[in-house]
Amino acid sequence: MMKSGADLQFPPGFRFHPTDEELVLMYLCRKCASQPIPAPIITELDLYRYDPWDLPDMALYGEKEWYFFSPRDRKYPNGSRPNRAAGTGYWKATGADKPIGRPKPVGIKKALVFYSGKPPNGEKTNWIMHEYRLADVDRSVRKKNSLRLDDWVLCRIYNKKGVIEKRRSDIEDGLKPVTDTCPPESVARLISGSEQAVSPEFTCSNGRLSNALDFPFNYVDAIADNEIVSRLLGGNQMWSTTLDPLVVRQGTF
Amino acid sequence: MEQGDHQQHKKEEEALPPGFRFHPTDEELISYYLVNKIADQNFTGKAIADVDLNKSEPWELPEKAKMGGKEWYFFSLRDRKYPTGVRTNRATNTGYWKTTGKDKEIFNSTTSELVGMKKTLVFYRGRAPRGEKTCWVMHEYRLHSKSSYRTSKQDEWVVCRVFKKTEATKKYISTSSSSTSHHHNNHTRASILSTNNNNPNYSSDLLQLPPHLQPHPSLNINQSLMANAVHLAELSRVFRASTSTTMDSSHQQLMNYTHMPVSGLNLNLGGALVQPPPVVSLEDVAAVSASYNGENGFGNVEMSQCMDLDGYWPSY
Repeated sequence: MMKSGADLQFPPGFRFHPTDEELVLMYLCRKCASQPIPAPIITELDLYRYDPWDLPDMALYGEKEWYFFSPRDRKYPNGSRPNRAAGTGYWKATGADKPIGRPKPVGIKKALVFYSGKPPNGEKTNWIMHEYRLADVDRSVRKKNSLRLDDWVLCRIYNKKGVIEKRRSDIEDGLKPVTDTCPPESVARLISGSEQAVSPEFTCSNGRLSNALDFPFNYVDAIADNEIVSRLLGGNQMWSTTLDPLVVRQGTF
Repeated sequence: MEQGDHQQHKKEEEALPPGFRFHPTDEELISYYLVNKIADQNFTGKAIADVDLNKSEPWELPEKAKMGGKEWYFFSLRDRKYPTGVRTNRATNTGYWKTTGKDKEIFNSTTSELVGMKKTLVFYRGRAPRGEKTCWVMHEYRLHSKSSYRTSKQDEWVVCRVFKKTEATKKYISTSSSSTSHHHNNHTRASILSTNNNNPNYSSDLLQLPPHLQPHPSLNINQSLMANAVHLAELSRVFRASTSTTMDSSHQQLMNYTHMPVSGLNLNLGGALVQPPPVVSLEDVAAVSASYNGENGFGNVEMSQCMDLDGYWPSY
């Protein structure tokens, strides 16, 4: 999916991983001041015309995240709220705005999530946008006969599951491969062979599948190895030592 | 020499537009950089310097690197500790690098063939086995033993990533809802018996373990390992079912913090599980591991995120 411009010929391993400060100071500020951009990697596009899953194909560059310069329109002629409708859904803000730059903020970063459908009944997806706008701009001034709120904001788009799902429902896409790899016969045999671990009943509800989608596919094998060996080495010590993750985890939050 | 290196370093950095960094995937480090280095010893990467890791302390490495802000990359020749042995000499003047965790297989993302192995090490000051652990970490990448690129030479090139696990790193990792340090601690014990460890003599390593990590006298390690091998596939299925079905609200809430990409799902779900008995027999390794793992769902959550974190280089 990565497309490289003529000027972007790097050896393998070099990637565009900018800091927030770099995005605002080196790219957004220059764009808004009509100055030359350091590298042609940020696509100019009104991304509010499209669904997020269509944007990667239109980007100049990107593997797991894509960057765009986009205009923003007002929701109402005399207001300063941006119109967040996009494609077949809308973007909804999440979290607090973050000022970028020190000591005086030059830009403001806002995180948004894409919802399919119409507000307020939209369906949340895994598509995320980080929007960077200039901080010190008087947006109440309105051009004649225009809904334009910002000529340019800088947006980073990515799917937090790391995959590009073309359809509206991420859950719908995610369920299918799981169902295909859930053969009742082998599971039933497994159940009968491990009485202490599993119940005779076997059900495969959608709710459980939804929860399961949050787990990476190969975590269990590594843990199996680790726990078996720890058991061999630690004996009864293992019960106390492996309680540490709970303590550490709780402390973290 | 030093001034020349500095000028070269500065020159290299200036060639990159703002925001571009050297963040190679594990696969790129092996398939492009390591393969080219083995084919031509004079090959030099734009961002990878040649260095003898036995003659450098980790805190000297950043200044020897060509590029990098928080991690640094090197080619290094690994020599054997003994002429006919299989253990690598990992000592420096002031300390040694110690393996932690299990070696990880690296696959080609297109063909799914195995291209190499990744080993994680931590630097200890002093002499083994009484060294003092530091926060310097190394990822070492090598070709796997059956690679067509492998030569019959005793000396073998590896490519290494070195970084310092600082408070900033911990803070970053915490906000990502995972704990690398705990991951390493868990895997330290496992590494002794790792199947990727070429050391055929277990007892010499076990003797170096602190007392509380010694295996239970009644356990027969060889038989237990064999039992593990036999039941591993079955246990993996049980663990998947166990973990997914024992997930409760607190774990689900934890999942909301996860932002790691998942390239594919391959889950085999089981039915509702009975609560594992609190006391289990030591003789039944399979049952013990299954029921134990079922009770430790929280740890599983953390472990999986640690593994994901290694492969993902988000923007800072």
